[in-house]
Amino acid sequence: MIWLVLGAMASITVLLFLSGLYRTGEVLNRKDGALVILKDQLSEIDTDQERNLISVTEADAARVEIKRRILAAGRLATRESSRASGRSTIFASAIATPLVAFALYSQIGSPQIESQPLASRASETQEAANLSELTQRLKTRLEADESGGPSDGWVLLGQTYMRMARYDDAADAFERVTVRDNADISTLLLYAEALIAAENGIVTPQAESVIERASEMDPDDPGPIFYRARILEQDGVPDEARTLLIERLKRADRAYPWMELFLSVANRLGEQVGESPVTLADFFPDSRDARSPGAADIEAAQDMSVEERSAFVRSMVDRLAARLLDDQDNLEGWLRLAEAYSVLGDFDAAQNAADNARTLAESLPETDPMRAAATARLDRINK
Amino acid sequence: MTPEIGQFALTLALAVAIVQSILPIVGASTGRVLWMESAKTTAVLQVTLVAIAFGALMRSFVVSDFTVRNVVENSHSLKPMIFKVAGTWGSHEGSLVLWTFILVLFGAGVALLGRNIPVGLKARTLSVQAWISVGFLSFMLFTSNPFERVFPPPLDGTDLNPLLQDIGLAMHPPLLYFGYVGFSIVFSFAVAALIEGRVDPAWARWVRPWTLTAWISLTAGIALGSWWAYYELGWGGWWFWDPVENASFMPWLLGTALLHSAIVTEKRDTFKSWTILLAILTFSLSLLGTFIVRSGILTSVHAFAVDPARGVYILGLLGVTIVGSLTLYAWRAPQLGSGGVFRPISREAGLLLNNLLLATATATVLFGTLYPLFVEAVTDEKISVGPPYFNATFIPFMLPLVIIMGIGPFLSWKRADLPGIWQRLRLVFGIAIGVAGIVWYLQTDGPLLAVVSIGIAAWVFVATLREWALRIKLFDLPLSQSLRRARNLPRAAHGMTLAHLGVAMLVLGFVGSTAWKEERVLFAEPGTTVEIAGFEVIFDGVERLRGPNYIAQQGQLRVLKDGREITLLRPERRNYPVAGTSTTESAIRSTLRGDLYVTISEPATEKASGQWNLRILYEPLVNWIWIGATMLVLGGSLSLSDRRLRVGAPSPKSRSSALQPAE
Repeated sequence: MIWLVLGAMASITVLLFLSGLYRTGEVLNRKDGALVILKDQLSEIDTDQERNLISVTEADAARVEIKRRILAAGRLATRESSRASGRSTIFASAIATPLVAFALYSQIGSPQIESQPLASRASETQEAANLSELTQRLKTRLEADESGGPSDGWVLLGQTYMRMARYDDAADAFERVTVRDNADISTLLLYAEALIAAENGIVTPQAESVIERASEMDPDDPGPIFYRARILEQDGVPDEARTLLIERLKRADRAYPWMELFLSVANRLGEQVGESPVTLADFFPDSRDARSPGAADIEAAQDMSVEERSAFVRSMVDRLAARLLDDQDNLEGWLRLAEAYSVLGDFDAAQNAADNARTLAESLPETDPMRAAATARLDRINK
Repeated sequence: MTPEIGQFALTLALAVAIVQSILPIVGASTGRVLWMESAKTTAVLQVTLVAIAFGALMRSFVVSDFTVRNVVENSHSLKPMIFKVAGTWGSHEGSLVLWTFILVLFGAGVALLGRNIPVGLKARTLSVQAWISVGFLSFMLFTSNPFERVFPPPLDGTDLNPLLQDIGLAMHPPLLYFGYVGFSIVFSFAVAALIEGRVDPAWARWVRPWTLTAWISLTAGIALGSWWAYYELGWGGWWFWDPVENASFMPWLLGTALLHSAIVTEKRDTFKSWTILLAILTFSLSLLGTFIVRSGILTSVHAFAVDPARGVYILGLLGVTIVGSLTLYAWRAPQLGSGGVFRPISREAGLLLNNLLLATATATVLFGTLYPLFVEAVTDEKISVGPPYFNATFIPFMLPLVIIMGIGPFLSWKRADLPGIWQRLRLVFGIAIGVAGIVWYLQTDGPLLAVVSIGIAAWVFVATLREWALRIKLFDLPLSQSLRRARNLPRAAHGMTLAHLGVAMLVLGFVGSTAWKEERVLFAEPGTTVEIAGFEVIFDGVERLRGPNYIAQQGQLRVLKDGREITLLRPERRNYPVAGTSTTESAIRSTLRGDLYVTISEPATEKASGQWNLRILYEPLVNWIWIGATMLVLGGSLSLSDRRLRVGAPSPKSRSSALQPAE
């Protein structure tokens, strides 16, 4: 459909171009054009004089001048021009124009993306509204809890806020847990991440102190190391940041999912300081299976052809499926798997994954916003 | 699909523009009519395609299609509809589409309306115009694509800037661009004339309507922007010598010089290379303005250096245009020849002086605008050049200009008779001195310059009226005959009178609202009374209100004059929770004598709670600025409607009548 419309636009352009070949009529040359203006000026003087706007002597002087200009214009050499030659060039440019346009469009256009007016996305907006209402209810309940509310509840609230891009609210929620004695490293990292996201990616002193606290708990945890590298980069020492990441990669005993992220950041930093890129194979020569989709994969996918890309997506989905066999309680994972299969058109597999997700979702408490969100997503998959 | 149609329309427009930038101009020098005439087709195609793109972008904004990055970043589903529409040109990318649309609109205008323009000149002009559109279309497609897509789309947009939710601002950029970009066609005419090697009265006549159109809309755009700043920003000023304002003011100054210089070329076949130079420089300043506003160089010279793709591209465009056209000028201008001679006292000399003063004034503004950028680039230090510099350098050029403006129309072409003019202007001079004296008597506390300036405003006003009266022989002939003469006067003459009277009004407004402005800033609690400019203002307190997407604190102030209540002012402080920002809505009692202007804000310190920060201003005569600007626009429009600008093309001599179509 889109190609039909674009093709029509291109064809009309070509036709308009070619219509020029059939244009007829006299053309106005420079000499005649100037003479018209000068004669008009002359008659203007007559009218002005008739209406007594200028005196006779003024009018006469002006007339002499204009007549002199008319004579000069009459001597203008005019170039012979004709319609006879140059038809083939017009024809060629008529053909070349849409070709150039299509060539350029194929580089920058995104014909596969449909437009989505907000009005046509009612279910999504409704879902967002529901989610935000449920989140509010959860927050009210946690706040009302005399013991301060369970840590899990606050973390869940914070994560939901993160997903809604309400980073300030998320940071507030995580903070409630981090001030408690039982705060673990992952909560601290979530808190730091929320603080950083709220400042559009800048690590504030407040976030830095949270990261330090996490680092003290376990200096070898990749989480704090990742953020410490971020701080170093922000301080203008990308080489140190890179070293920090690479050292941690070297200490690893086997391949982990977080490594892809480390590698992509290390390589980005390496580009700045002139180091050649590293890959997972540099650390674990035979660890291809451990890959999980990371930033590098997505980057790689952008350069692929359509067939390569679908094969790549397929392999990612299969890896996700394999991982979920070991991690049966991962609701988000099952949801994503179901969505992925339904996009790929494998509806049986999608149904299977969706059933697993539904079972998990129904085990959640009624008021949990995750439950409503999951149900909504499942409903969409079933459509 | 809509965004992709827009995207394709832009790529197609670029391809068409490339053809237009080559074929017609080559056709003009090789005598191929088909090539020259192809400019008409391509110019119409370009405007259609860019209009489709603009429409597609606007639709994406109207329906909140968040698959378009530009919509995500510059709109929000909660925005009122009119501001969704205005969002189309509110962003960097969108404003480029608008810029290009106006560029190609002027091209198509010449292609379709310029029937009296010779085919060769038209072809060259349209080719030059196409060079500019190739530059801007490629800039847009390669560095600032307005139709970049996002998938999956976010749920809502991120921009709800309440300050931009003002109808004046929504209309401001289109008008300003119309003037800014309109000068492109004058530039193209100038470059075409240089290539052709011929500038004559006919050329000046062909170009005049286009210069006037651009000048009128730039005037209207600047006035509207200033009016918006006055009402919306809540600072009580109408001009801040801000770089963005200067960027539009410089082309206006030079454009005004161009308008006058082109008249000399048209009437007297002289000032030719000067007119061409002004045409080139005016558009160069428009481009420079676009660069200053669009490259982000204002925020920080270094920020511009960090993300240089856009800035460098537009800087390149700027360099190629200015250096290229000036080189061509240096090479070809000497061949244009000089025209009629004139005496030091003549209409020509007067207009020359006008040109020189305007050009020098432009140079001072340009220096003041660029100097901080140079300083920051070289020494890393951020300085700002503000009103003191501009007032000290700009006004000394403007006052003589306004004085000459009163005399100019009395001067005749070639040689003028100064004693005779003095004879006719003696009375006017007396009146001006009298007005200045009365003002001085009434307002002894103002600066002397202000008193002089008011005298000068009176001088231009009365001199212009006197010139008009002389033309129609008012009081010398019976009134009915004078009125008949007035009807017979060309519209361009009425246009000049109206515009010059407008300048007198402008000076009145500028001086009044600057020199005799009164200001009170205070902490007020309910019951506080302030005396200002003969008014008694009583603060009654604050009320909370809810608007459609904001919460407002509305202050209530009673205004008394001589003990009688004359009005109630309600300034507001609005808080937009979604965007997390606040705006000031001033309350103004507007009269021709002056504006009483009140804004309110919560005090910044904690301990002053319960108190409100009030700012009360009295700005005398400020409304005359808008009246004067309106008169400038009306005068220009009247001049544009003059019959003489629509000289028809000659009916072609039917040479080979056998092949003539039945049109």
